[in-house]
Amino acid sequence: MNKSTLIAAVFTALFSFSAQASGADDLMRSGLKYPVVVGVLLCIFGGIAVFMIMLERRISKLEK
Amino acid sequence: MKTEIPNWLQQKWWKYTALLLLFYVLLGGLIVPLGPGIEAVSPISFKQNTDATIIVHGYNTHFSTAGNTQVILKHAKKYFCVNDLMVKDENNLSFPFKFNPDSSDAGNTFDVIVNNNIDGTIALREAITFVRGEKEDSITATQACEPSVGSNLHTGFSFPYREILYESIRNTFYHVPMWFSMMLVLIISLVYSIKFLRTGNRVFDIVASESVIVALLCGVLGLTTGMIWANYTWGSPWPNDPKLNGAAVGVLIYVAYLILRGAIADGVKRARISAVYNIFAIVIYIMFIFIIPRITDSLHPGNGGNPAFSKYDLDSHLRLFFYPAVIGWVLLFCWMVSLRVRLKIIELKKEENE
Repeated sequence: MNKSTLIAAVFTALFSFSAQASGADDLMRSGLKYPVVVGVLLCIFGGIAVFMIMLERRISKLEK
Repeated sequence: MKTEIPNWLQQKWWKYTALLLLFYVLLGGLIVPLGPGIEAVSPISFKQNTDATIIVHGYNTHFSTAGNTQVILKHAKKYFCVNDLMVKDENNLSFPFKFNPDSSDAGNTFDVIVNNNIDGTIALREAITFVRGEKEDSITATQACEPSVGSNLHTGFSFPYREILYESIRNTFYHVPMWFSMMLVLIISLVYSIKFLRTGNRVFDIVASESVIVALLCGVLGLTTGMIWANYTWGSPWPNDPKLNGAAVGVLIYVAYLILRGAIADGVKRARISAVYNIFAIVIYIMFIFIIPRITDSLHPGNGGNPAFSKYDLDSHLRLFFYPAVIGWVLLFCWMVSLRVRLKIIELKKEENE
């Protein structure tokens, strides 16, 4: 099993846990505000992730 | 001058693993609901021998769906089973209660315990206080009983409902890993400082100094997340706590490291003096973070006689996200170190070529 297959298998298992976990009758998540908060946080995290990957690629190019 | 980059800095798999782990923690940590608990009870006090109607406000509870909801009050090792329970909705119920204490009944508080087959057993300690008066033999008070409950465990997948913490328990995935990351990055810095003193390789000095910069970022983020959490749970962003003060001193020690480096113009001398300082700094840092808070009173868990993360605080559901959070944040900060080191090495090579 190569590294990427192993990582994919681990994350499939981990995401299945979180998918089971969402609670429809939960007080904090009953309104519309909460999905917006989650969305904004995911966007910020996505931005940081893209920035890090771009930086990694640029530095790799400079090294070459 | 040798300018080979350490191998681990260039490998990519662990960097993408960090992103995936943090995405999982961010998403899972936000969508998993908090477990059921008793938010409040009203009135919080009643007079002995009077008919009191007690209202229990639950959080994420299933009082009406469960069907077999039962309420038990505990006072001085005695249990009082409530019979005329009125369930209003999923999160609210009320019941009449009358209490006629014996002279042997010490104290004046009741713990409220609620049990059903969905929420398991949930409780609020010292929820109700009764005001003592004259004992009346004629009244029909709620009788003491031997309680028996169907199930003690909550059936859903949730994070533990803890008094004081409530929804802020999710900060465990951010605040705690910051300090784990800071510690690990500082250990990397220490290792490379020692390596520099042994070999004189300039790259090792770069790894050590850039690690300190990233460790300071971890420290600032740890202090910020801690202040937000402290404000919510302890009522003040900076209570007089030895762990908080120790963490601040620890961060300042490494700020002084950077000032020291900036003050020495000669490159080799700067690298040597700062490497020696770094070795002493980590000893003082460990003393302020791990030793002093354990020998004095502290609000933090695991310090000053407080229990550390128990099985109730850090249950198996929380661990599913806590451990990936620790690994993810540690790897992300190591990635930052790698980027800074590689950039510095490129600058160094450019200077050498010029």
